[in-house]
Amino acid sequence: MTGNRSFNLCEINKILAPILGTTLIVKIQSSILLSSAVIFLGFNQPVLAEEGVERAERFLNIEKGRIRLKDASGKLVEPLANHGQKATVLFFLTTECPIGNLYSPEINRIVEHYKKQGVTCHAVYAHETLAEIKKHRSEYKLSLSALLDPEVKLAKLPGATVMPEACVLGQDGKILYRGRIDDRAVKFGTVRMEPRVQDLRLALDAVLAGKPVAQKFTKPIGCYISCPEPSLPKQSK
Amino acid sequence: MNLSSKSATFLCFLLLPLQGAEEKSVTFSKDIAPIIFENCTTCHRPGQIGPFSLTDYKTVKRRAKQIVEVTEDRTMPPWHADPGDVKFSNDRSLSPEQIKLLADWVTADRPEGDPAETPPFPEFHDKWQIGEPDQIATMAEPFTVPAEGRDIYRSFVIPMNLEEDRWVEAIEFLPGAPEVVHHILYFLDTSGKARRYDAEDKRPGFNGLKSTAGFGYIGGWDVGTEPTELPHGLRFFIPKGSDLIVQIHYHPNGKELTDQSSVGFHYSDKPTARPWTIIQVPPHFGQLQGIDIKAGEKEHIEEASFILPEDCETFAVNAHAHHLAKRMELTATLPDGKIIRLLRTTRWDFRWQEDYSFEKPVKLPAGTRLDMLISYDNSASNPNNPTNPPKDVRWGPQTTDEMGSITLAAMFDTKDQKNATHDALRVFLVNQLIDRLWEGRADVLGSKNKQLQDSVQMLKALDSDKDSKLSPKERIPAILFIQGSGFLKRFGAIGFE
Repeated sequence: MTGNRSFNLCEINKILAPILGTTLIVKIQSSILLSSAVIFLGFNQPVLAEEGVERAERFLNIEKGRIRLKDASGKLVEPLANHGQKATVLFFLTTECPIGNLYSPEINRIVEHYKKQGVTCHAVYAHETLAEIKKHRSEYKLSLSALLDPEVKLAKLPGATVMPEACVLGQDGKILYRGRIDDRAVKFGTVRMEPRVQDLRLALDAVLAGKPVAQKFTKPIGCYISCPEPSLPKQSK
Repeated sequence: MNLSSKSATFLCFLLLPLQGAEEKSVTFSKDIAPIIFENCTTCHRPGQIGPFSLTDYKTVKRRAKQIVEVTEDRTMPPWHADPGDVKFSNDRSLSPEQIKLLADWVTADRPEGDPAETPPFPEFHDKWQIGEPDQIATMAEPFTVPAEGRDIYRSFVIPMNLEEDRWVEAIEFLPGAPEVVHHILYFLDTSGKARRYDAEDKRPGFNGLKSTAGFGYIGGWDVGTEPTELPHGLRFFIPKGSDLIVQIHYHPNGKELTDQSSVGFHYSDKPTARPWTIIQVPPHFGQLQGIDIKAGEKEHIEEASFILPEDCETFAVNAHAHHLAKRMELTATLPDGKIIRLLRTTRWDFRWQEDYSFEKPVKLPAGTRLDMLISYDNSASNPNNPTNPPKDVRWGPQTTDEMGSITLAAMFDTKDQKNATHDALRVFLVNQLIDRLWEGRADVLGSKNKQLQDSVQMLKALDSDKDSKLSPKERIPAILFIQGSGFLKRFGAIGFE
């Protein structure tokens, strides 16, 4: 039996979750677990369904103060901390997703429109180097701040799974909306000419008006965020 | 700690079957790289239209889940013809076995295998895939494609400066901005009309939706296709003094880009081995078909049939419609009753304008009936519907209009056969005109002038048995009249002259 296989933790959690339950997985993961052949790192499975929003809120409240990421200028930013903003929007992006790139002008419009109303926006990149991000920002004229999230620390908290995906956080760090920017992308290869429902704008308008968000979760279409590879050396038996 | 060690034991049991499976599982090097290199890398490599590269283990591994999704639903590789009676030589679709290998590889957590087993990366030429052309025609000025907005159709006029007629054996298109150049059509103009259009328009080129009447169509290119190398010793004819018109369809992709594309021509000393042309059913993209799709109509069917007057051999088929078309079919019924389905797609996608080349030419004897069918979905539930809420749609060049026809490329033994086929297509078009006038659909001509009113009066007078229909015999004077009137000139060429 060969033991030099690196397990993707996302996959393992998918298998274990129904059997062990989420709480147990978290416990296991926090108490570094070693079997003869397997090493794995602490990660919780990005949550996929609507109920995931509720589930993720609990983690968020624990973790939010500890999330510090570098922005494109190298400065450390605490995107989840309260800086007096009325709401925070995280756009999970990748430089190479054709659907995400199509949204660049709309992202810029949203940033500009809601900035005046006290909303802070960040682009969060999980897979790119600083140089790639800088190039992307200039090519697509993206004006919002860019955060580097190489360990997928930030993306996993609200349970973001694809890029582009948007997440709206309230002043208290609660997740108020997660999902698509609008309904333009139907599936890979099928994109409407114009959106019919601008979900993110609707959510932000509700939040700013102090009303509950009608549609808290929508299914985003885009390129998948992948969990980072286990960084420990592979073990051989 | 007790809990953890118990879980560890439990985990080992859970993982054992996985590890067993891995030993006989598919690997990137052995199974996946050949599929990717053969089918994806042409476009998915740096500098090409593919929005991301699939060139090695790392890049493919990262996209693995997405690759499984788009191959399983056959979004990729783009190929929209259903498997049918006739095999295509340029079939880009993956086999069910290949699709399963990709899925199995992801289930096995994407193992690399032995890198030494990875096939060599295919050799792509930096520029021209089929060698340096004899002549390169490049857009005179770059054209700016904005970051977003609706698709853009733009025609660019490039003088060929040919002092003598030439036969062309291959054409290769080299997009200047491959990220946004989606597909193109080539035309030739010897009348100077295209130059006038260009001069009237301040920006480079002219609106690509302007009528192409009077221009000779010589083919096209779409994303991911090979350069046009004509089969069976066939050649395109370019008369001296021609201007090349390159009609480019741009897809804005989120960033502003400039495009300055080139077309490479490979000339031949020999003329075409056989006369050949295109047979479009119905002709002129269905302009006189009378298309009228009501708002909300989920399945609107348009049909047209054409009987071949002469023997021919078809070697390729191509379909064209706008965004509402869903199903498109062309079937040949031979004089002996044999039925050959030449093309069927149930997933028509405007974004992919493909030419389907037959592996072997299909013989269609004189008397063969070609039946074309297109089904349109003008409901709000069609995500490709460009109008929301849906509106009534008729024929027209705009994205929000519709059109539709299926085209065969066919070769003949003699020039007379080709000419007779063109004549029959003209009569087909004239008959469609008579039908539309009879129905009061003068709108298909985009005008309501006096001459048309007179024509309607004339048609009524021809109905000698007063059955409110024009029989084939009753129409003959009308057909002759319309043909003699020069009216057809406004439609331009019927095929390759």
